[in-house]
Amino acid sequence: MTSLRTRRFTLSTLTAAIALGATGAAQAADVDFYGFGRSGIGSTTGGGDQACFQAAGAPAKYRLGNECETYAELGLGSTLYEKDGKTFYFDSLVAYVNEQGNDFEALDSESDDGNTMALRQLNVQATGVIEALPNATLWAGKRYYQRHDIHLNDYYYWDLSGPGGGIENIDLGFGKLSLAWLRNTSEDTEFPDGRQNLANNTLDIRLADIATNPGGSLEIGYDYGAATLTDAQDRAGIDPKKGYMVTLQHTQGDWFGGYNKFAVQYATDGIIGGSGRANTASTTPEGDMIRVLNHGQVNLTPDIDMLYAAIYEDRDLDNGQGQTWLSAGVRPTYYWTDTQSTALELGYDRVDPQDDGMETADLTKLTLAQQWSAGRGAFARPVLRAFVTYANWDGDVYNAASESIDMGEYDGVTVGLQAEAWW
Amino acid sequence: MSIEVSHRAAKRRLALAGALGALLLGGCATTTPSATEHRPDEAWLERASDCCRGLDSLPLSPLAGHDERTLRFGPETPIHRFDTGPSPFHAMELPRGMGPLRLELISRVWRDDQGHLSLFAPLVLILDETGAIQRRFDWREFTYQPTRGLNDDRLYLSFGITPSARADRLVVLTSDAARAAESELLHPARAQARARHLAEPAVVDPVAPHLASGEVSLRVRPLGESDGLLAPLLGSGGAETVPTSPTQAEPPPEHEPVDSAPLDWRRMIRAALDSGDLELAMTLAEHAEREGESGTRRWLAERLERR
Repeated sequence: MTSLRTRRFTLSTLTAAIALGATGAAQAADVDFYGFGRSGIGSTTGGGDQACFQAAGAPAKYRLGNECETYAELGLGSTLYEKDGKTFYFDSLVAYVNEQGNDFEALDSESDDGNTMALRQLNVQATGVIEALPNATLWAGKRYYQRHDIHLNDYYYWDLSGPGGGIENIDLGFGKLSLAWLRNTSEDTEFPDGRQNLANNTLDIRLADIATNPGGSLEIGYDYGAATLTDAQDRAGIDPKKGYMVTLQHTQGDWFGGYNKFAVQYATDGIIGGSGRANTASTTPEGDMIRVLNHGQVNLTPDIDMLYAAIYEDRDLDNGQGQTWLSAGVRPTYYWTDTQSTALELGYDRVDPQDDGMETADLTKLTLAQQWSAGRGAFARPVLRAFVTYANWDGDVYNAASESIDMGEYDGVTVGLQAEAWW
Repeated sequence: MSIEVSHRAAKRRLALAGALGALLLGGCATTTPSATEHRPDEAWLERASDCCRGLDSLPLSPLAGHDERTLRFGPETPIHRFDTGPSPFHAMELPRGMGPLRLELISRVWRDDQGHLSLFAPLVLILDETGAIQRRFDWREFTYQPTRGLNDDRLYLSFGITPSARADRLVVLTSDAARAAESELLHPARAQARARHLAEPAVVDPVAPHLASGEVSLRVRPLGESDGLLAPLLGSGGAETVPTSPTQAEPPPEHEPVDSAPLDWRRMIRAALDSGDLELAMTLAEHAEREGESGTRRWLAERLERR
């Protein structure tokens, strides 16, 4: 019998079969509804609403039991054309965020409460339209573009999302090449025009899926950011801070039932501050940045899995306002049943300013959450949580999302309920 | 200042060295074997005696027009040596007089206490009154549906059929070829990345070996019947337009109406088209023409041209 076990029904085969089956089915119903949402209620034990704990200057915070707003993304997409191996897929997504304070919270962006909505995706992706590159996808429009994040602390370390266009997944035999042109507009106070828009362009080149070792692969990326100046901006003496970022990322795919990602990034000048997005404004400080991170998910036993992350980032800026950020966190979860689990998240952040006269800020956060989820595993959703969070910090300031923590306090406890879903 | 600069440069070099060292270590990483590589002994299947002399003598259980049941496969199930190899099976008699039926079969990926995965890959046969095979659905004709909420990874098949002398029995089994294969499942981290539009991690997808034991859910409904949350809004389905008795003892002749109530042929044809079953749609159109619903064939052709 063992000798017969030579064939594997792969996902790609299944996907192809589903696609072929769908061709003959009712096309009017071919709409993908997908999205993400989280919302809840919380309170600080000393009184007031829920405070969320983030070390001052840290780009992220550990998220379990530590999210104070309602956020949702609702997306609609559809294959509008499919014939002879050529497909055209339309995609769109609107994001919503509000403070989670009342029943009726307008998303009009007219007040300072942060309640707003945004069109974050609207693009068309055409696959197989270039005869010589049947697996490549041409695309244009606003798009979440090959985003890399750490789920544990909601940190996007490689994310150029925005309006753009390009071609991706060109099969080179030893890897897949993607080329993209993306835009993130910023302002420049040196420019005398009222809008002060500076058209920052980023050229993104990625070579992915390079096999390295059994179960492992490498991705290499180069991002070059620069602005194209108008004549008026030229005359105003705008001096855009061009920059580049190099990313080297290794993924181990058969890592104790999960995966491990290890990445090194080096960036200069105008591309330091935004996970690969350029901001070339005259006011952007020059300097360089190196970031080393490691994160992933493992199954420790059939009933315990764990998310983990470690980050080291050093921003060395010529104006002396850089910093070193050190972050580490784990979230082991024990599954009592397929629907009930207990999660514990421990996270630590330390921010050491480049200016020796400024105080180092560090923050430790510990959350215990009882969870009811639709299925077993770190990525099973929807999930409902009842949590208690304790945080302790050293330094005069931290990023609180509430007035419930007074200045001068050095720790806090919150309790709450949260729902989270993606589909 | 120069000391500060050199201190920061040293830190950077240290970080870089650490990074490269970890990368090299990553290249040599050893990982635990996949939980899915476990395959239990199935010698019981080879040792089992044949329950029956042929397809025409498989023990039958009755199936109702509205029916839901879980078919369990394993050493306790009757086993027959089919042409495709020995297999536990369930054979059921299709209900006559209910008009066309929609059959849905779901085979879920099973996860044991140790985290080992397995899957029963079904083969479905439709037999006539003599036990001859009239229709066959290989496990590859099932579609794979990844985990969504509490719905585990699964193989899913839906098809329409009109019970008759030529479609008298339903047999669910597996085959040597099916058990020789295995199914690659969508890793939850990939599913999350797709839902959130992230770059998919190059994670190795879990694999479920195909076993001769497992469970298949079977659901039978009159074709075109609406159910679910929207059923009250959509009104009565096809079942209500075909008031027949599932216990009807004598099946009607194949080319005669199942009873005096008018059949909503076009509704059933639309349902067949919606589920992608063109063969059934054409068969229903032929039936409709014979029953005096002239123009049904042309109506179907026009709908097909528009698709």
